Amino acid sequence: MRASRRPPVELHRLISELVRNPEWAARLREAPDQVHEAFGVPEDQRAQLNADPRKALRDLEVHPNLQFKYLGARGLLKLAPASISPFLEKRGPGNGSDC
Amino acid sequence: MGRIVSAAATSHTFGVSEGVEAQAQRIFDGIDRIGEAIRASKPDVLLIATSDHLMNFSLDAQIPIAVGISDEWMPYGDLGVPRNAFPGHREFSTEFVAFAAKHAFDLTAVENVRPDHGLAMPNAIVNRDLDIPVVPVYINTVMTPAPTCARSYALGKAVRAFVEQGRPDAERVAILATGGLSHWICLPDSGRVNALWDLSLMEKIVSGRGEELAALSFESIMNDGGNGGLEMATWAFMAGAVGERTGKLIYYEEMTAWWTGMGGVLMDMDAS
Repeated sequence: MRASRRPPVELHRLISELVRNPEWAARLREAPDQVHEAFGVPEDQRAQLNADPRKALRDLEVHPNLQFKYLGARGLLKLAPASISPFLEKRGPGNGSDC
Repeated sequence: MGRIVSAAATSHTFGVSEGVEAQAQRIFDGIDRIGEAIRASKPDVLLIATSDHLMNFSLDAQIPIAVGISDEWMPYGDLGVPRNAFPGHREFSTEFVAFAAKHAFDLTAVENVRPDHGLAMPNAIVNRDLDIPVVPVYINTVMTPAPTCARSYALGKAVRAFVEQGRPDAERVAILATGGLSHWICLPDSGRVNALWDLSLMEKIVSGRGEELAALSFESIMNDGGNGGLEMATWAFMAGAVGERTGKLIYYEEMTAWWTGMGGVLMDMDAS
């Protein structure tokens, strides 16, 4: 991120709130622009997000990890959500004898 | 003096196993083998170095390096990690922060965190009975600027000094670094895996040349390993803690389906 450019702080605050408050994530999926407006995202950024969220996040230099969370909240991630749980459930006994 | 009885490093993510079932199982089994070795070393405390993924820390107050202090931890629950509590080690954490303050590290102590997958996924496998007290060492490579590998390596050396100079006789300490390997998160190169880079860094560590990780610059990591590759700072931390010890590569998979290299190493702490 270039130091000379103002970071998209409104979007950063919005996405950080998604982590703390899952209700915002649900609202973002249902009515994204209302949530953008609620967090004071500038109109030009809102237009970009409405046109192409993935490109907008990149162009606006949103923190990559927060891009991931935003896209996940909107169901736009290309990587499917994964879980370690099935592997934990089926593993065998660990007795320290393998190493 | 205490003693570092086991040390290892591993990736800390996981992906969908459909279509890559054999690779996914080998990755899980690799982490599980690391866990067996750590448990066999009978540690009194397990230090886990990881980056938070902006689940507990935020851009509002960018904290590059922190140590968790708590009697108990509860996982955040992402990546399907069960929300089962496991013990902390308040006394160890508190004393380490104090020791570090006298050795050029002003660490931020954090208590009310719920470890995300970076810590909780490997912990669920390694610390399978959830009975080994855990001290989280947050090397937050998601911050700007990110902690350097040089700084992380030096912190690892400080941990070793703390264990050897500041801990009770016979205390047994395990160290687990988690993160990496090469992956690009929400960047044009997302999906790329640089297996040559991954394997070269793992080779440095297992051949006792982990100090060379300290020379990795932000720019070189971003170019060769991506922004996710910055998490190799935790491996540099582990390397600092073990010095010139050698080890062995436990697993590596070039997981293009998961957009990341996945690997793990185990150090030989009995070697001279």
